[in-house]
Amino acid sequence: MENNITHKKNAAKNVLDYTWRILLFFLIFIPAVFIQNKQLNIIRKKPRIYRQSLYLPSGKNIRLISIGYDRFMADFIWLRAIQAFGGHWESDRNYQSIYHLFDVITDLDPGFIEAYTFGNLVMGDEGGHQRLGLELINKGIIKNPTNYLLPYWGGYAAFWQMDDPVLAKYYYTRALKARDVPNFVSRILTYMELKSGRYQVAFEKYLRDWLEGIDNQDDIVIGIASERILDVIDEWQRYIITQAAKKYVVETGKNPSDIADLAKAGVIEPYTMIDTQILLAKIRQYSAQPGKMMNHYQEILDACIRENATSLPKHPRGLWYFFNPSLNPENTGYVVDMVRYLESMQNLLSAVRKRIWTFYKEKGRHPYDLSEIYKDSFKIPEPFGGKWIYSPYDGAFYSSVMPAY
Amino acid sequence: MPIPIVQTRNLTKIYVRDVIGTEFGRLKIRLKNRKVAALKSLDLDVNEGEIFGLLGPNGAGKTTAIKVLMGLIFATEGTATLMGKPLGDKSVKASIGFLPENPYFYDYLKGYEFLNYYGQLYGMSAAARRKKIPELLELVGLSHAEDLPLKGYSKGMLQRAGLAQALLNDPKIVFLDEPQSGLDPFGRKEIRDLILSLKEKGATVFFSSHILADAEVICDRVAILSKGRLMNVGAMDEILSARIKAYEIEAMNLSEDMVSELEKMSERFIRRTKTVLFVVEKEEIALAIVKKIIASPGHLVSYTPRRETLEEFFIRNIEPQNV
Amino acid sequence: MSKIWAIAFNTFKEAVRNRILYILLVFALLIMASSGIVGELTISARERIITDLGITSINFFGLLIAIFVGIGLVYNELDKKTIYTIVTKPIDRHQFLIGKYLGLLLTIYINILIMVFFFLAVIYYQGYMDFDVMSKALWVEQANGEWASPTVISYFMYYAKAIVFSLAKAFGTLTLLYHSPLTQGILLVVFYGCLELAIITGFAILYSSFSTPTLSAMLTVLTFIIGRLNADIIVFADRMKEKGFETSTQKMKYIFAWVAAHVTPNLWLFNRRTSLAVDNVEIRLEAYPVLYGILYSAAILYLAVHIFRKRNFK
Repeated sequence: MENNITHKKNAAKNVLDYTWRILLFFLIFIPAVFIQNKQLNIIRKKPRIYRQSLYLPSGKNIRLISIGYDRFMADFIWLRAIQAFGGHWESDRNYQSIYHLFDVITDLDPGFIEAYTFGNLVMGDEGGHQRLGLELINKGIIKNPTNYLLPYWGGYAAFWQMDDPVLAKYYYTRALKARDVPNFVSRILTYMELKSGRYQVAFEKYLRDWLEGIDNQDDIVIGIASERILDVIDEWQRYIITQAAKKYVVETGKNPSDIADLAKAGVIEPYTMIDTQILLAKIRQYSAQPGKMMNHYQEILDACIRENATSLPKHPRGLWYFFNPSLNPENTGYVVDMVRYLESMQNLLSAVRKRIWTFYKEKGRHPYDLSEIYKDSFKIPEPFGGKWIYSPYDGAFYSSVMPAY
Repeated sequence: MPIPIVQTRNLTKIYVRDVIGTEFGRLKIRLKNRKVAALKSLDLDVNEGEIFGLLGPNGAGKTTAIKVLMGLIFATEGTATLMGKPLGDKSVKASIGFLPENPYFYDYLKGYEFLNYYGQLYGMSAAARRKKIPELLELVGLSHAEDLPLKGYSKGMLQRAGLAQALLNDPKIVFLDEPQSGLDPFGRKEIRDLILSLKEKGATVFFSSHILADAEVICDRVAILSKGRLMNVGAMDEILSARIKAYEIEAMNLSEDMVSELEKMSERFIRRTKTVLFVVEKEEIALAIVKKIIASPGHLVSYTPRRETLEEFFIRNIEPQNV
Repeated sequence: MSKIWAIAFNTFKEAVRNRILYILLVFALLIMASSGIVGELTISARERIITDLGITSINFFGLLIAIFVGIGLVYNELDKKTIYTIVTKPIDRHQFLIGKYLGLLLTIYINILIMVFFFLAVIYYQGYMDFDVMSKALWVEQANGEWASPTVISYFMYYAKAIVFSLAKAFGTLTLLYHSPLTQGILLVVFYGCLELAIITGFAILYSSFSTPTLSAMLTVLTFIIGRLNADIIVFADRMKEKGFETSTQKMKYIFAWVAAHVTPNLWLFNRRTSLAVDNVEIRLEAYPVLYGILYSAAILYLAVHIFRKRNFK
């Protein structure tokens, strides 16, 4: 009995001993936690700018440091680059500073294709530093000559971001020399030919693609080639009309009001005309026996091409050409047809509407007047002779003549 | 004359200490006097089948001599042969067993595994190992610890395990370096018996020790080293003088007067709880004391003429070494 | 040479009891297991990151095991004097050293085997966790054209199946029974890495036979670094030579660089990791690296044996 009591007393004494030690511990620890919390809050509130990415040494030096574990180091820096990209995407959208990261990554592992393509995309797409992006691509092409993706993306950047079809042509030609090239690349090249003004080359290539497509019964190819070939004819003819119109202005000093004026004035230079009707007829004729279309290639070519024509070109899709009265001549061209015209008006409408919507998100209300969004008043005139209508209550913007668009 | 089974001629080992080294835990830079002679011109012959003791104070070079013979260190000068062949011969090594001082083995091996591994190193076949190892474990008294890792062995058990591995291949020569260090009296007796039994089987035993009493009892011949040099070599009888050094007379139940009288006659006197001991140098005085004790009502316990012990010889002849 | 094998096996038993071994192994496996999470940080290069992480772990931890276990190998024998009763047995000193080397190599290779098995399983598992694959397996189209949403049990079964199948596939790949394009080059890359490790282990044994563990560790790491940067050193030396020597220190630097580059092993030879890129060179088993690896290791071991033979065991 006695032993029990003393044992319990001892146990109680031990617990008491420990409690004050525990209390002391927490007394010291909890203020430390508070201070830590304060520090963390300060860090949390800071804007996350990834500037430390700039201070990476050159690729050669990093390779030395990574003693043979090059790929691993490249992956590690790749992760940092992704984070840096995210940081800049959220803040200033200027990616020039992380170019160096991609440079280092590709120095460490020249076979890291995604580094080149992603770097190029990041540089060019939003940042406006397409030249930098293309430098990456060029570096990649030198190191990986048999990879088609690199020149493919280079061509993409060249045409769709820099609007330079000649440069894009160079890249796509390069891409065709690589292994495992998918066959749509050659069609993109043909499109570049079209865009850089080599209409006849583009026409012949598309014709060849179309015939081969019928031979192989490849519907996708047929669809693309048949559409594109008409685009070629369209662009070609518009170019001719534009040249003629310029000559008209030089000769008569006035702007031509109608396409027919050009024919009357005789300013149309001799050109190579493609007779679309004959072309389509011939193809329809021979496509009854698929499998031998390529044999008729030369025949079809001879049949529809007419050299030194001087008559007005006819629209391949059966529409009418007319001069672009107002909408953005630089974008849609001096000479347009109805489809194009409506398309460009739709583009214009959606651009303006997007601006109104951005204004609404930022300010919480619709602008009272278009001059709030555009510094000078909205200059582009309504194309169909009506007026632009803008309602500040619901932010609606449309044309009075064609309100449905 | 048969060739001695172990023979050294002019065996010398000189250590050269580093220029920058430690001494007694302190950094010391030595530019002169760097050479230390551990063995100086050692000439030894050990005959087959005998028990040979290599004796000497600490630091005399006993362990060095054994290490040179075993091939652990290389002599600076001189030659040595084992079983007529030069050192390092593998066939000779197969017939040699070696137990170093304070042996250390692989902790993680169990007793049986340990002997099995060493058996493999000897080149014993699996069957031979299976047969021999239990015998040896029985012999050294470690059968109960067969499955225990060596980590759990006491010092005495380790020593016995070491002995077992030395005897694995039925060696013709067994080298033991301080085999009795750290053993209790039971252990020491077992070692003595073991060495004697080895001699009976025809093996040669070469061991070094500084426990002179045991060496005195079992060795056929001894060599005494001091400061690396061979001081004496030969059979016990040859080294120790045959001269009787003293007579020890032990008696009891003597009267006090008798005791004081006899004490005056003797060189030394020791009183014990029940007996008294008189040490006398001259024989006549000794015999006189004995007669007196017999005549008295006291009781003569023992009368021992004693020759010089090895220990006394040592202390008389060998200088202590500062090691 | 059954004696060499006996020593090797004993060394293996000794190494396996070294706690550092398990720490390193567990660490490596943890890294591989979490590589899936790391892969979430990026979208496009995901498989690449997982593969690279795994292969680098295997190579790096193999190296660490070689160093940490190897540096004490010979030194401990001498320090603890366990060698006394070994060398006095009828074995040559070179048999002892070679046995130690092979035992260490065995330890390392078995650990690498475990790591590779786990790594292959992780890769296959990631393949099963791929969103498309998983959706295809879980969402079943019913007869009336609608999709039945998967139940908890089917999720559970899928995960269990993924784990079991990836382990089985990993085992199959290791035994060369199962072939998958995902893991095609990995075994060869690891094999080349193993050759590199054989050389470094040789160095570890060499240094361990004459210096303390700390010094051995530093020397082995130094050898490894110089060996990996061989190409850069020799290029640097050549460039210095072209520029001409103005001061004698420059000439000394050149000589030092030249010697270092030629004496240390050319470890870049064994780096086949860059060839794992998808559209480039295929990895093949070439004879030259194998021969180089074997010969160089043998040379280093020969040097170690020579040093060891003359050693006095105080």
